[in-house]
Formats: sequence, structure tokens, C-alpha cells
Amino acid sequence: MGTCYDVIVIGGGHAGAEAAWAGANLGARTLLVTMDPSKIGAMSCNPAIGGLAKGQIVREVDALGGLMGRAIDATGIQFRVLNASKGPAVRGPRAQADKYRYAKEVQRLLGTRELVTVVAGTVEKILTEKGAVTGAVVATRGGAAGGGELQTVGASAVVLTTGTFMRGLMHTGERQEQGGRVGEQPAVGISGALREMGFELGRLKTGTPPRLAAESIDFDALQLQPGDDEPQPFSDMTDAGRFPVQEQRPCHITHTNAGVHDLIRANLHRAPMYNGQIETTGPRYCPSIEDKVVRFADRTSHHVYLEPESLDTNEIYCNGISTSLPADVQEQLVRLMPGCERAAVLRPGYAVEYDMVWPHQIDATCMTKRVAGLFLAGQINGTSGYEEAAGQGLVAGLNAVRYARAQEPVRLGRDQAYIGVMLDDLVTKTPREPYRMFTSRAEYRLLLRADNADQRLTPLGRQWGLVHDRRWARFEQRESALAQLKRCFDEARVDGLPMRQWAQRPGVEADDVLERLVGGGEAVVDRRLVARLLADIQYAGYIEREHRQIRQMATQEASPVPVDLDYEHVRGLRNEARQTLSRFRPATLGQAGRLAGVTPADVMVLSVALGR
Amino acid sequence: MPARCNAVPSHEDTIVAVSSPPGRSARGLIRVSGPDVMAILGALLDAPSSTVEQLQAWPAPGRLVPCRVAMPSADGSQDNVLVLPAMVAMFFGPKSYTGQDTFELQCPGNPALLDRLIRRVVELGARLAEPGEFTFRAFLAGKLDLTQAEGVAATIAATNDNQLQAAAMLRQGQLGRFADGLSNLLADQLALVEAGIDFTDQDDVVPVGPDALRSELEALTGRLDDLLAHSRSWGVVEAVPLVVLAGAPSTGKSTLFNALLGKQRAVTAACAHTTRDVLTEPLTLETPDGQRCEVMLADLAGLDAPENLLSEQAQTQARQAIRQADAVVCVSDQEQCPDPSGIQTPPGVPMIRVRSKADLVARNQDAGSGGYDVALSAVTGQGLESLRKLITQQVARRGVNTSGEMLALQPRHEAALRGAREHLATACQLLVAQQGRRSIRQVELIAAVLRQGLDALGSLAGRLTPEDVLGRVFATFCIGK
Repeated sequence: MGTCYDVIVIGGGHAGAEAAWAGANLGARTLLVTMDPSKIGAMSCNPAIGGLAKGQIVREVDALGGLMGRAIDATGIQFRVLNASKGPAVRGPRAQADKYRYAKEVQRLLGTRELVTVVAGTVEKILTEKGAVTGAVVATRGGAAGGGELQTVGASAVVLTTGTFMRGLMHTGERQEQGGRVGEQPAVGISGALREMGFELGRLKTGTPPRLAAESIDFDALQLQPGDDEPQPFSDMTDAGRFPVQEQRPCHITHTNAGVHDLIRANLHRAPMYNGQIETTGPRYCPSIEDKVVRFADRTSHHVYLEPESLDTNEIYCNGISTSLPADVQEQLVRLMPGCERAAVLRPGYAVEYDMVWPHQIDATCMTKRVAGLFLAGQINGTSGYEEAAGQGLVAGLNAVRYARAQEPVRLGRDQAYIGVMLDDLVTKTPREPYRMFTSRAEYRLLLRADNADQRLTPLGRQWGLVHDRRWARFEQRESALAQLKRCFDEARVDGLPMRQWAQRPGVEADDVLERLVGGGEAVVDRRLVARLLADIQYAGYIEREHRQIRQMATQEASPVPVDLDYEHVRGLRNEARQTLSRFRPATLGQAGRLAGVTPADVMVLSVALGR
Repeated sequence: MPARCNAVPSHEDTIVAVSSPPGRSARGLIRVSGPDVMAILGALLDAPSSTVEQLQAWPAPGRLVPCRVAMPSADGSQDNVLVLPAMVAMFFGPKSYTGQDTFELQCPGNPALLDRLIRRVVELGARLAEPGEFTFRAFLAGKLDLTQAEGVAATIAATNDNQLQAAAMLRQGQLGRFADGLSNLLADQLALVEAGIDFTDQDDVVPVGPDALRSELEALTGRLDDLLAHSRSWGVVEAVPLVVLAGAPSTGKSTLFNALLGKQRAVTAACAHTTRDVLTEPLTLETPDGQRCEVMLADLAGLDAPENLLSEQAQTQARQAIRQADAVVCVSDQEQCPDPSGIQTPPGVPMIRVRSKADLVARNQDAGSGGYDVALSAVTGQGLESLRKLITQQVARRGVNTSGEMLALQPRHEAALRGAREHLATACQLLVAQQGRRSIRQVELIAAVLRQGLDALGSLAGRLTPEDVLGRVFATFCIGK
């Protein structure tokens, strides 16, 4: 380990890995500090990537040169597009991963970047001078002595991604254990260090279900859930010809029943969520099974998806029964489900509480407003999910390097990417539960599609230095193919109509178009490009309306507001607005306008005060 | 709901606002500023081609020039165009106050009229201005220094506070409760739709089907229709009632007009067709319980078969005024009150039958007979007081009729309800083609449309999209500066 880097990334989860990858792709010397390098890219919870809205984020990360899409394409054991029967804007690609191969692939990819140095250890202190980061004190692990040694490392920027590790506390029934993941130590010192720097910390909760042994489950008795017949890769860098890489596996579906629910009710007093042992709030969209039983008392059954975690191990993830009930209750519980009568629990589920930093303290660049050069990404900002973490990690890594190079920070707009929607939400709202992306959060949902992520973001990524020549060449190739396809649409006729007009009919799918095009003697056409063009045509009127709205917002959106503006001395602001603005310290007029309690008139007053 | 932005309003829009004080005043002033000003003015004026020519060679910025404003009726029919004499002043950017092309239109200060005028300008592509927006534009154009700008900020803040209060009061009112209830119901439906999009991979979500959704939406549309059918525009309700003097030529309408006003306003002469234009003047009356009551009194050209183009125009104008009237005073000097069916008053509008020139009637004759409500002489003043009382009674009754049963809608209210209704109708249209299907096709488009509907309603209730609400609340207040 050297003593001077451009960027130090703390944490090797999905945010940290993506931040380090972005740093290296930008040519920055990057140090990745993580407790256990063999856990880089680990999937602590669900062995899956993507899904509704999340799949769009993975595509965006990929379009910006990120590694998540490439890693899942190389290690996915089931690919399925959710909402495939619905419109293109709300389709979400999802994949089951072999979680061990996934982590290894992330590690392998990072290993291809000479600029990334990985070190086992923890960060004890973030060094600052005059409110700006100058480096960190790293306690390295292992080594000859087995003990650690403290080393001061200089860096212009630090990206902090603590996941569930910051004062992590796991609950399984009455049993409490400190740690961020089973068998792994928590990060204790960093909470205090952040508080000392003046940050306001919060605490959130999340949970995970039990893992079962595959050989103990009677899969034949269960409904099968296979992947798509024609699996689609996430990454633009993945060659369709060599995809899928891994052997594909199905999932299975079982369900809870009255017996399971009775058992849970009888043991609620032993559930940390209900006996007062846990007071923090968990996500409403991902309730524990005890929550489901209590809150939806009239239901007698809930689906449970049994998902393989690896081709190499027997671990089965029970999607749908996240729980913190005691291990003995969990064992009884799973055995009441069909097909699981003899199931062996390999690892009980648990709930985990962890510290986070209220995200109004960062900007949409991921940099904290209090300490220049300090960037936060992932669960530390109150989000949940690998994809959300990856998106932030990428933005944090990018802006950390830009900061180190004294370049202007960049933000993604709500009209450009789900990543932009997420960061904007984080910095303008106070999360009450771990933040997860949904398509309904995006007001420009019809624009922010998985199929056009590269069109939206790859040129930006190129401009920012994230997109290297190979990806760029592929992008340009697709663009010219698309231009050609557009000409076909303008010239060809179907059912006596110009093809473009015919394609406006609802229900016309890419396959219908391909049939006509190929039938017409056209060269081989990329099905995904057809789908994209079709989406643009079918949404045209709505998209035009969205573009109009975007144009109207443009000036304000980009107008910067000094983070240290003294709102007490802005004349004409109402008190409520003054308080809200002082707390959130928006970085742009656009952000200011989205704060609850700030009216358009307040924004005008602010704009006058700024001399614009 | 996704975050909608409290935007600093775009200065690419053309904005309009009433710049005179609210309520009745002698002169109403409407100010329009922005890139589309010339096009809007061209479309607004009667005989635009000649006026546009004039506009090209406008003599001097800010000089008031007489013009005529043409306003098609609400139903859009061409044969019911209200032509209004007005004065217009043009200010060209960048030398104007806002730095953009601006025109100011002066017309009689009747709230109903201003209301219609604003609607017309909005129809032609402008939007209602936010509080202080004209001044804000001046600031953006570099017309104000920082001290002045601070004054602007204070003005914006003050109007904003007023309007927040007004919005809070609205929410407690009947209309606010209606919109609130409706947007809650609509939000419920949207939630069902979104659940079918965002949570199909989750436990137990049964997406709503097209038929069930459509029947819910149609019920909501019905409620909106009901409300709209039982509402009148605020401007009409709040307006000073228009009382017209109508009758055959030379029955002494103008003499009566002057007598009621107590001043020589109209030119009077014994010969027919002395009055050609519609003359209006405010008149203050006193109700029996001592309340003051304002009306707008209008003197019309005499109604008979037109002899030439000029008198035909005068007749058309007179008949239009009668259609706008809240009470018609039908004047005649005949012994028997003539059949009033010749005067086509709109249904429900009261008519007062007046026998004029009562001083010429022989004393032995009963001046009150002949089917008249009152006989009077403008010369002696006989019967004038009775007429005043009758007008007051009729106009007061009209007030009860409207405010008792109907909901008064300000332009932004109506725009919101009609906007919401339109979005709901669009959604229903998309759904009707899917009858019998199990799941909704193009569900993301349905969601987009419903979201717009909710935005429209939310702006009224002030709940779901605070920024939109405020933007429209602003429109009802004096926000020229």
C-alpha cells in the first residue's frame, strides 16, 4: 500500500466496488479499503440483480461504463424480464446470480485495473484540514503479526460506503450480535468519527430470510419458475453469441399457510420487531413475514420464492419470509410450507440495524456539504438495494475524481436517469425507511427506459471519461444501425400504411416489426434496437409532453445555489422556507423547488437574492 | 407521487394578469407580456389586419390607442361575439418594463368582463402570471438594481403569504372539500394502477382490470360533470349586475339613463336613433335595509327594423348587451305595454316594464295601468324612486339565486376541474377499447394520464402538487407588480 492516492474508497460492497471501478476508469490512483477483500461484491441478501426500476438502474450503470451489468451477465443463472407483457417503459430486467461467482467476477474485474489497490483493513479516521479531506488513517488487517498497523494515507477525496456495517447489530429472536453480516465484524469507530465532524446520524433496519439446504426441499412438489426463453444480457459489452455464460437454473414457488401464520402469531413476543427490541423502522415495501401476518391479518397465504444462490453450493434463498424470529421458530415455520416439510435451515434469517447519515447532508453529487472531498454512497445514505448502491457508488467515484482534479462536479437530472431521480429524492426529502427505487418515482418514466439507457447516458459517460474506446465504438455502431432502422421505418409500408404509422398501433411488438423487415429482405436487425425505436414511436406524444416540461425547468434546474448561503439574510423568505432551506442547503434552484415547504414564490425570492 | 418541481416560472411563456385592483372600478387593466404578445393581440382584436398594420408602425410606445376587442362566447359560436371598445398600449422589448414585448389593455372595470378577457387571452396561449412575475421578469432583464430587487422580493413574499392564506381557506370551503375528496378517490385508483406496474413481482398484488378501473373513473367524471353543471364562473357571480335600458327608438331611454345617473351622460334628442353605441355607467342604489348596491347601467340603441348598415351594427350591439344583462328595463311610451317578446331576454332574467314620459299622460289616466310595472317621468322625477327600488329588488333576487344553489368558480378552479375531467376522459377512452380484457394494456400511459388528472385536481385542493396550486392561486390576485 502506498501512502498517497487520488481517492480512497472505504467499503467493498456494490457501492464501493463501483466507486473504485469508476475511479480507475478515470485514471485515478484508487485505494479500496475493505475488511475482507474476499467479500468484495458480496450479495448479503437476495442473490439477484435488477428487477422493476432496479433493472433500469443496472442498465444506466452499464451505460456509464460501470461493472454491475458485466458482472451479472457473466454470472447470472436465470434471466427474466419482469412486466414483459407491459409497455417498454415499465419492463425491468432481472437476473438470479450465482452469488459467489458474482463476487469473484467483481473482484476479477477490479483486478484488471492496475490503478486500484485493494487493502484489507478499516478506516479509523478521516483526516481533514480546513473542512476538506486530506486523507485517512487506515488500520490494516492480518499481515505477519496478525494484528493491525495504523497507517496514514493521503488522498484528495474519500468515498465512504459502510453498508450495514456502521454499528451494525443483528437480531435473531432474543439473540443479538454485533456485525454487519453474519460472521463479520461491525465498523464501530466510523460513526463516532462522523459525529465528531458534525454529521447528523440516523439508524435504519433491514432484514434477510433464512437459507435452506437444496437437498432437503422437495422441488418436484413445487411450481417451477423458469427464466425467459431468450435471455437478454444487461451490458452493452456482453456478446449475445456467448450469452448466457452460466448454466441456467429455475426458481420454485411455495407459500405460507394458516399454520405458518398461527405459529408466527404465537411467537410474536419473541420477534424483536414486536417486543420492543428493535425500534428502528424497516422498509414498508419489503416487510418481514411477521409484519405481513400482523398487518394483513385477513390473508391466509403469501408466496415464497425459493431461489438458488449458487451453482456450487446447496443454499436456497427464501424470498418472501424475511424474519428476525428465533432460529427454532424459523425452522418450524419453513417446515410448514409445502415442499419444505423436511427442510434444513442452513442459516437463519435476521434483522440488522445500522447507522446512516441523513442524506440531506450530501449533494446529488454524493459529496457531503460539510466536508469537501468526502463522498457517501449506498446504505449510508439511507438507500436499500445493490443497484441503488451501485448507482450512487458510480456517481461518488466519478465526482471524487473530478473533485480531486478540481473539475466541476456533475449531477444526473431527474430527466436523465433513475440514478438522478434517486439522488435528487435523497437530497430533497427525509427518508423514513430505506429508500428503494420504483418506476413511479420517476415523473419522466416514459423516457427513462432500460432499452435506451445507453442513448441517455453513454455520450455523457464518454464526455466524463468513464466510457472507453471499445464501449464507445459499440455505441456508435448501434447509433448508426438505429439511424438506418429509422430510414426503414420511414420508407417501408405495412398493411398499406407507412411503417412508422403502422407501428403506432398499440400491441405492435418488436417481433412483428422484425417479421416485416426480414420478410422485406432487410439485413439482420438488432431486436433491441427495434424495441427501442418502437417505444419511441408508441410513446411519441407523451414523450413530447415530458420534453416540454423538461425544457421549462431547464434554467432553474441548473442554476447553482451556494451551499453556504446565509438564508437568515435573504429578505422576503417565509420562515418555513428559511428553515427548510437552511436545513437542506440545496445546491441548485431545482433542488430548492422540490423541498416540501418551499413555494414557487420562495424560489423566485431566492433567485432574486442570488442576482438571477 | 413523484416530485413535481416548484419551478421558477419559465419566462419563455407569455403571461397575463389583471393589473387593476380587484372588484369593480371605472377602468380595468390587463397586462400581457412575453414572446407571443403580438400574436395574441392580433387574435384578440376585432379587425386585426388593420390593427396589425397599425402595430407594425406603432406611433409611440405606451401611447393609448383605441381598439375593439372581439370575444367569442363561451360556447365558441361565431354569432355571439362580444365586441368591446377598449384602449391598448404597446411596449416593445427590450425597452419595456419586463424587457419583453408587452401590451396593456384598458376596458371598463367590470369583473365579469375582465374575467372573460383573461380567459380569452389564456385561450390564445398565455398563462396566468405568478405573483410579482412581471417585476421578476424586469429583474431578470436587468431593469432593476439590487435595492429595487429587494423590494420585489418583499412584494412577492407578501402576495405569496396572502395567497397561501387564500389557498388554506379554499381548502376548507365546499370546492376544496370536493376537490380533496375527488383527488383522494383518484389517487386511490392511480395507486391501483401503479401497483400493477411496480409491484407485479411482489406478493399478492392483483392488478386492477380495465373495466373496473373505467367504471370508477366514469363515476369520478360524473361527479366532475355534476359540479361543473352546477357552477358559474366567479366573474359572473362577483360582477356588478348589468342593467340595460331597452325599447323602441325614441321612447326616452337615454333621458331615463341620465335621470337615473343624475347627470347628462348620454346625448338626448327627440329624433330616433340618437343613441348608437352601448353606453355604460356605474350606478349606486340603496337596498331597503340600507345596503349599497352597485349596478352597471347600460343605455342601448332603440330596437326596430334596421334601416342601414350602421343602425344594423347598433342593433346587433344592443341585442348582445341584452343577452349579457342581469336585468332588462323595458321602456315604452305607449298606452299599452308592447309585447316584450321582441326583446329577447335570456331565460330567468327579470324584466321591468316602464312607461316613460308619464308627465305627458293626461291626469285622468292611470299611469300605472297598461301592463306596466311603473310609470315615470324623467322630467318631473315621478316614479324614479319606484324604478330604483324595483331594480334593487330584482338584482338582489338574482344574487340569491346564484349564490344559493351554485358554486362559484374562479378561472383557475374551472381550469383545474376541466383539466382533470379531460385527463379522466382520455384515460376512459384508452380503457374503453380494452373491454373484457383481464389486465390493462398500455398501463403506463393510463398512469401518466391519471397522474396529470391528479396534478390538475391537486392544484385545486393544494395537496398533491403544492407548486401547481400556488401558481394558479396567484392568478386570482392582483399580481401585475
